[in-house]
Amino acid sequence: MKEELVTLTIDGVEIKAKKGTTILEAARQADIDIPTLCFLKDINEVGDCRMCIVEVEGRRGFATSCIQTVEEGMVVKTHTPNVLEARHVILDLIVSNHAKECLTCTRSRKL
Amino acid sequence: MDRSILEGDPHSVIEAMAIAAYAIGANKGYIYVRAEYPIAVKRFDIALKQAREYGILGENIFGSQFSFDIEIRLGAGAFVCGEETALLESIEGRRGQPRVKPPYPAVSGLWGKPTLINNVETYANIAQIILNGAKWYSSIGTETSKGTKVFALGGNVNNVGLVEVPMGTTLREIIYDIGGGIPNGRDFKAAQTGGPSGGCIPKEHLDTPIDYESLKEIGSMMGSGGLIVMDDTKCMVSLAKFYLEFTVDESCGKCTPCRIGTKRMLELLEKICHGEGSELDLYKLEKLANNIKNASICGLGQSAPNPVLSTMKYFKEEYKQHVIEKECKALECKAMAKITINQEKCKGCGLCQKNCPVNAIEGEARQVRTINQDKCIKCGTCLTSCPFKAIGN
Repeated sequence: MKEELVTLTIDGVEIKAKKGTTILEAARQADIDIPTLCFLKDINEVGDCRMCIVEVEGRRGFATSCIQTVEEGMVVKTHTPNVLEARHVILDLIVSNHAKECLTCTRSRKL
Repeated sequence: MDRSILEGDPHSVIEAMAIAAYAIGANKGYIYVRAEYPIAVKRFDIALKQAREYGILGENIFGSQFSFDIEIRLGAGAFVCGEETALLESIEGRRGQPRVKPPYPAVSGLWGKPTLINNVETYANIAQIILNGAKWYSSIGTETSKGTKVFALGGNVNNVGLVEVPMGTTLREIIYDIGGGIPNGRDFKAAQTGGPSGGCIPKEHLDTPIDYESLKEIGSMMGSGGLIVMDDTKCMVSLAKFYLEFTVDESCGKCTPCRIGTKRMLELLEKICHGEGSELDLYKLEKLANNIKNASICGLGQSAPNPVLSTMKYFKEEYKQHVIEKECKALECKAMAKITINQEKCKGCGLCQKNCPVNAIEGEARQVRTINQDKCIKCGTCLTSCPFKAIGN
């Protein structure tokens, strides 16, 4: 049975992806990096941190790329000024609530 | 508005839900109502029992193949459960946290099934539309918003209560003709529509015909129809702070911008209302507000910055007075209240100077006294000790 392919554009690059693929997966397959924080494949795919947000032409606001599946003809932009500013503010907010012991925190220890 | 419908006309909702269910092929309906409305719950329950007795709800309605029944579900005090997907989560027995949309409930709703979800007020219109026709309904209202809307009119206005008006009625008509105008001879300053999710509307927009689109255009929104009128004794910065206190409390905590961002905005507003704000804080506030609005998952986070953005848009001068001159002209932000001695009324008795705990009052014996604002701690002792009522703010 042939898998249905969808054609979409991410950052000007035409990409073909299987139906049901998320924008994040499709982008990563094409070596386009979208930052994530709370995304962990098959374990945590909830769209909570808001770092993976992208602009989709024709849609208001931002789309959550780790959840949103690709659609035929979709035009996605991953690094517009608005997206970059939003990501910066979100990271700023996370750090504002953070213990900031990164230099000695166990989570930064190399395994 | 919705509560008054459940309490006063529950059958209009039951009938509409049955019609809607028939239209989309659903067999089960739910009414999600706040537990803080026990009368509404009780009366709706009675109406459901009556409907079942009449055969309007239940198996094979009126001998047809169509079966439909409705269950009541109670909320537990969360404002966020008014968001449609958080409401669905709550009915499913989970914590009321919104889902990322798309998919929308019509595609994947309650238990993943296609679900039609509407406000009680919307349903209450259905029977009349079907009886009188769509043309009749469309003849009321504006191009983009048909029919009527119920507003909860409150605040500094003579007549408070629920008012139902055709869409397109102006704010001026509601506040002055129906509301009876502003009491105590005061001036209108602003009206807040949509509650904590909405924005304030200043004098210059009083003649805006109210509908969904026009309110959005001027930086507010309809919401459920709250309409609070404010006179010139209201501090608009305090107002933004008040609404933000509410949204910070009600944020479900799922996404970063709403959970942390609203808190940071509130802290900035508290700083400003305490007279410790700067122009940089105004810049930070606006930047945070815009990004929280854009990046939040649900309507709560997307609209929480509205009171801040709209008061900054229409009352920027007031914000500047708070941070540059450190003054609250409406005299609501007590930390910035300036106590001064009226130079004409002062008799030079010196009682205030004697009683001041921080020696902030200056002046020689029998001379008119003045208060050193840098030393003043605004305790008000001088105010109460002056026998000539020469001290005030």
